[in-house]
Amino acid sequence: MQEDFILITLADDDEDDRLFFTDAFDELKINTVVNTVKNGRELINFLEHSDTVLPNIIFLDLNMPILNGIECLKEIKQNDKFKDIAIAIYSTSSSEEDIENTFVLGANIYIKKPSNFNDLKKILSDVVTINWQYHTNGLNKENFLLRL
Amino acid sequence: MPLKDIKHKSSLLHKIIFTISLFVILFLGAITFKHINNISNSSKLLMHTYEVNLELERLFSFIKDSENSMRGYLISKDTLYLEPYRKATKNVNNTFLSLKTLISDNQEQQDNLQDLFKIVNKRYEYMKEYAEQSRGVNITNNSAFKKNFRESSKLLVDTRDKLNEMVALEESYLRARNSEYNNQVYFTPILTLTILLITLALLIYAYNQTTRDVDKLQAANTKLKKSQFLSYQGEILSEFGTWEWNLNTNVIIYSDNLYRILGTEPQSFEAGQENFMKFVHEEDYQIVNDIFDKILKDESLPYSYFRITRKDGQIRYLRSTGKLFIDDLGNKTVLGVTIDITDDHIKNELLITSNEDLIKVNKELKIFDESSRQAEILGQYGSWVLSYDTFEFTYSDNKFRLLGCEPQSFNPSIEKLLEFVHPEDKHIVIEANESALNTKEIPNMNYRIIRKDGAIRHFSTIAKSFKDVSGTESMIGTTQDVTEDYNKSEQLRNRNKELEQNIKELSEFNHVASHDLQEPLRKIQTFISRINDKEKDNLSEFGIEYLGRIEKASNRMRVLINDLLQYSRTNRTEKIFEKIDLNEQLTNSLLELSQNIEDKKAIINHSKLPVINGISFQTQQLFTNLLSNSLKYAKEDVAPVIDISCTETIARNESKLKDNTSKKYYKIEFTDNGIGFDQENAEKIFLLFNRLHGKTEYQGTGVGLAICKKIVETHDGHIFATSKLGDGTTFTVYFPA
Repeated sequence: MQEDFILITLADDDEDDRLFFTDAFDELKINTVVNTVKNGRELINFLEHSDTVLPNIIFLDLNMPILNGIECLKEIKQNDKFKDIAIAIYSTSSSEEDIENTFVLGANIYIKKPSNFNDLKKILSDVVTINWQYHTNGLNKENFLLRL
Repeated sequence: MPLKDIKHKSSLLHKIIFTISLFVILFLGAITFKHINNISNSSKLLMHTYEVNLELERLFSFIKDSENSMRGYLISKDTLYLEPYRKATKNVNNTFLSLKTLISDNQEQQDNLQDLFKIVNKRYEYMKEYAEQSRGVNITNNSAFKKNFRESSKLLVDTRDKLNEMVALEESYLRARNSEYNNQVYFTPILTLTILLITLALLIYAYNQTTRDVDKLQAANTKLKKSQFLSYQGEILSEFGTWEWNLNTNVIIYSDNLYRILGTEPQSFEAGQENFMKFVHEEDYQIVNDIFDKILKDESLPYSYFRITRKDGQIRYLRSTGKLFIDDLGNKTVLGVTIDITDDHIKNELLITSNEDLIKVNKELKIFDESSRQAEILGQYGSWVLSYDTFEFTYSDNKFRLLGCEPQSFNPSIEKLLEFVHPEDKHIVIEANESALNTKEIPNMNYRIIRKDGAIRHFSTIAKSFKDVSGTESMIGTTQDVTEDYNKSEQLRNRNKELEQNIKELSEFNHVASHDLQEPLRKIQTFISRINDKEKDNLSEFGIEYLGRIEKASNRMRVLINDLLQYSRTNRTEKIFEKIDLNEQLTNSLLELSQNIEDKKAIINHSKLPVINGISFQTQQLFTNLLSNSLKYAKEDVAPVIDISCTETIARNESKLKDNTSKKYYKIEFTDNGIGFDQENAEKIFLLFNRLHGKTEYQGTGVGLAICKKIVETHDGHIFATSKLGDGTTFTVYFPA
């Protein structure tokens, strides 16, 4: 089953963004299973739940209540069970500070939320179809920020 | 003076004695000569007498011989006897002749000799008769003969008597001469001896006197030598020289030290007016010439002052004076002293100036004292002195006022001060006092006191040890009432806190702007794109047009927010200055704008840019903004040309900088051939959100150049724009070199 579907989890507190995210994957003809959580705490709880099948990619918003993206990223990377899951930062901000911090903490890719739906579709498609093995091996700061 | 007297008296005495001695010797010589002459005369006379006697004796003997021979003839009739008779007669004649010469000087003897000759002659006449008669006749029988014979015998006796008379006369002469001679021989030695003895006595006396004088002279000479040595040393020590001008011979002599004063070797040139003038300071020629004239005219020199210039260029001040001296021989000599008074002169001048200074300083001190009194009141500080000798304090009036007391209303002491000090701060003052007494130093300290009226005041004290001219050491301190300052700094601290709060809020606002404002905008734009994609067909034309306007407005809002973020980021980012090569930054900018440059077919020329101390990404941003600005405002039908040049300059050469220093700058000029603008807007264009054109004509938010200005200012630089409408623009950037 895991070979057929790509399991994707999005942690974002914004309802609209969650809507765009799921709509985009709906329109993309890729076999994905997308589920969403409203904040970092919920994400951790979801991952730790015994029934949960761990996702392939986690999309992580930075600006979230209760447990924000950065804290969430730290917890995931400190946990041996989750640390191999690919993490894509999915944020409105593209400040150098955030990019630097998340890169250092071990995120795999940084996506700035686009302001055009078609761009969103394109970038999500690119992320999902990346050869992750290759991407993580050649991890460097230059290709960390995914540009359209 | 006594020296001179002795010399004078003794020399006169000596002269008298030696004159006397000379006369005595001459006199003695004359006497001796006369005496010897007498002796020789006497012996000559003696000899003469003897000779006369001898001749007389011989005469008589010859007469006798002739008598004898005659008699023999007469008796024997032998003619043989006639021969000796003739011989004797001849001899008698000879003897008479020699006698005549011998007694030629004596009349009496001559008369005698005349008589004798007559007698002898008469006798020989008789004898002659005998000789002639005897040949033929017998004379013995002849009476005439007999009578003659008797007569002749008688004549012989007469001759004898006459002779004897002559001898006796001669002897009487001899006796008289002899007695005269004897008299002389006896008297002369006595006279000579007496005179000799007197002379000897005089000479001994003179010798004694001379010996004594010589001793005195030697002593005087030693004294003179000593005083000469002293004056020689004195000349060197007191820097004076002496000179002598003999007015009779017109010879001038300088002492060794006078040469030294002139800065030359002693006796290195001939003393005289001409040579001396070579040393005289040119401004004082007239003075010195007058001095020489004066010496000749007045035969003395009052105090005169003039300057000389030594060979090494040093200027010395001299004072000269001289007096006439006439010696025993009547020689007129002007004796003078010349003193080097340069040091005195300088001291004098120093004294005058230092005195003037003192008066000035004193005046200033009075002013300072009064002003410091006022300053103490105005500045709310008081001063105090702690004497290390007596451990007593002295307070200035205002120090009392600071404590809320009347000036000098109590005797200051550490105990008294502690009464005022706030209980919590007493330890500070006590420690400072101990430190002052032990190490003569106290740290700057702040403490509170409770004034007499109960108000709490903040005091700050600084103090330092100070040694005055007399060597007394004391601590001088200043205590200031810093309550107001303290309150102010308290306020400042609060203000600072508020400001920090504000900055925090501002950065939070930034965050809101970057995230929270962008999020809804992004969503609006995403929704618009959703409607455009999915619902366009269902919209009326009216709806489509309005949707298009919404899209444009939201796009513009995005640009605005982005630019604003960039501008605020220029402020916020950490300013890390490093050596950056501006050529590299420019290349990066050109790369960034390559598409734009290509589209507009722009030509960009640039010279070599310097390496400056700056922030890398900011300078790149500066170049990018300036270049894109030029590209944006290019003339529609002309390909943009941008020239970038760089020169080194200094502030005072750049009128725009309004800086008169020689601070060095790199001046980078960006000149384009764009549309330009009116020069009166040259400053406006750097203001945030300020635009010269409508939004529809040229895209832009009016942030780009504001960012440029911000960046340049961050680099301690300056930026200016020069332009003319329709004639291109030049942006001039100054970076400190």
